[in-house]
Amino acid sequence: MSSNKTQWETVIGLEIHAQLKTASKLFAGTNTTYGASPNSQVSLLEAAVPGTLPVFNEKVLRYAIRFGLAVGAKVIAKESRFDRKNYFYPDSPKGYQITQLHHPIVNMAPSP
Amino acid sequence: MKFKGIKQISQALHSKDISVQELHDIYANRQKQSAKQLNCLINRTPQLAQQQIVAAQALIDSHQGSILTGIPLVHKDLFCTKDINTTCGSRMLENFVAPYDATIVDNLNAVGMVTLAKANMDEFAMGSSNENSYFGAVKNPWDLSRVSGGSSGGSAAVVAAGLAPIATGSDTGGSIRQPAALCGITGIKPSYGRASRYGMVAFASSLDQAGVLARSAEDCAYVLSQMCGYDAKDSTSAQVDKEDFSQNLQQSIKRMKVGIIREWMDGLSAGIKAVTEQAIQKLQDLGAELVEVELPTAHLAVSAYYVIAPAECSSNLSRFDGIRYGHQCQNPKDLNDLYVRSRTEGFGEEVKRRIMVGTWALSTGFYDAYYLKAQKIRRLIAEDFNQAFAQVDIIAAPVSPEVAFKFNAKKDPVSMYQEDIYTVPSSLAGLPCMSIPIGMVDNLPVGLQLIGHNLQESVLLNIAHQYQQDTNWHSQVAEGYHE
Repeated sequence: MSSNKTQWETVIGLEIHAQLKTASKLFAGTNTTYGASPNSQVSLLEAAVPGTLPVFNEKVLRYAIRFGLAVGAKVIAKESRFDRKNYFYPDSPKGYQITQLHHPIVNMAPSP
Repeated sequence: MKFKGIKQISQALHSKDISVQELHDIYANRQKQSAKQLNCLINRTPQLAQQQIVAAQALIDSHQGSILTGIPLVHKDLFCTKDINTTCGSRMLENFVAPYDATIVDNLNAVGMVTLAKANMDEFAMGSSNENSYFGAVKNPWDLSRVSGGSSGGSAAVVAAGLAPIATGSDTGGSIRQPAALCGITGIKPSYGRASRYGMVAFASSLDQAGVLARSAEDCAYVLSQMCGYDAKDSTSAQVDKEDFSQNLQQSIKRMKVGIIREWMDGLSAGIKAVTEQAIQKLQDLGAELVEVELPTAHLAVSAYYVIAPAECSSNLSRFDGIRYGHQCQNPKDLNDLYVRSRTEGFGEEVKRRIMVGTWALSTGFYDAYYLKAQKIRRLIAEDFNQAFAQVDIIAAPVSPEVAFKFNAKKDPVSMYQEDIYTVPSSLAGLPCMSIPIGMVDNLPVGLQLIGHNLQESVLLNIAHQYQQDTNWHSQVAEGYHE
């Protein structure tokens, strides 16, 4: 690193995790009740049983749009997509996370 | 009974000429005789069949049965069947017992169809010859030294040899049409989204579609009507009303506009070309009008398909890690060893090849060059079809560049991929398409592909049925399987 500190600018990014208050999960109809007994809130989908498919929770979409409007997002996407982040790890039964990289619902960046 | 159509079999059941049990026994005995020789089944399902026979007979006795009640069928072994092994033709899932029924299995159970067995297939539906099955290759009933086609090769051989009147299949890039053509039977892949994918083990999610293999277009129509329909459990399921695809079968095809792709016809070998032209001539004799159409981007389809399908498979198959179900290696020394050895041992060569190709195509830095480019080609091909369907009602085309080939004839994977040259364009565009038998070359069956515009299954089945009313190719049975 150069000794001249003025050549460097500090940029801090925050990754904020928030749990939405929904009755069921993001991609499955299973409950999210706090304190329920172990393994009582898991379906074939979360266990990554072959042939199961995710179904997006509509409430989550509504919350995402509300959040976007609340923080003054310029863009609420008319078309949005999910992306898979693939990696092997014991807490990831499907071998991927479902995320939004290319076409998120809320995008703070000004459109190009 | 073995080679009769569903309508006749159903009449015999409803008029009590034959019981569901007796009907079942005819096919079960056939299976005992020939299934081993053809290697077309992975597991038989006698206990399930017994329950379903009782239920179906009760429906018929109380006059609540439909045309499909009591009709036996075989499911391709990638459809989940509750409490029954669902292997996908893989060592990875050799001992996997599905905890639920796929939606299409549910739909067919609901009217009292009787499940006889699970059909052999290329591992995870990847292949065009059924030589990629962990359980061994399926033999073609027309010539036991030749392949049945793939990946629904077991399903096609089952129907061709009269071991069941119906088999389900799945088609990602030709996996119903090509084996149907090579085994001399009729097979249909509906539009993407028509049949639910819930409970069908995923290979390439944006392409996978369930369908039917049967002896005739009419039989395909009955089963497909019951199989399809919107399913809230599959978010890509088409939100359209349930349709009776048998309704338009009897319509005349006079003045129907049939598109021909000259470039594809000219690329065929002399024998297949002659048979295909004869079939097209027959459509013309029935009153159809021929129109030449062009698909300028279709020559890129195989290249695009073999980027997109492996990319999707590499992600879809990552859940098979040896932790919760499926093959697990012995004595892993750590977590990484567990992953690596379970997958190395559990997957066959072609599956591993596609996982590696797909992983590479999706990796950072290559995404734009391969996956994104392939998606653009896909869109252009769909646009080509849109242009074509502005001029015609359906397109008639070859299914496969050749008849059933010998085992081990295609050791180079790329030469095997070229088998799919005529089937992948319509797959990439998500269009309904089918294969009907139209003649023989070197004593082996040849198929004609019919491609329809989105959700136009009834048009396909109409023209196929009219052709079959006037020809006998679909009634042909390989020597040795008549009785």
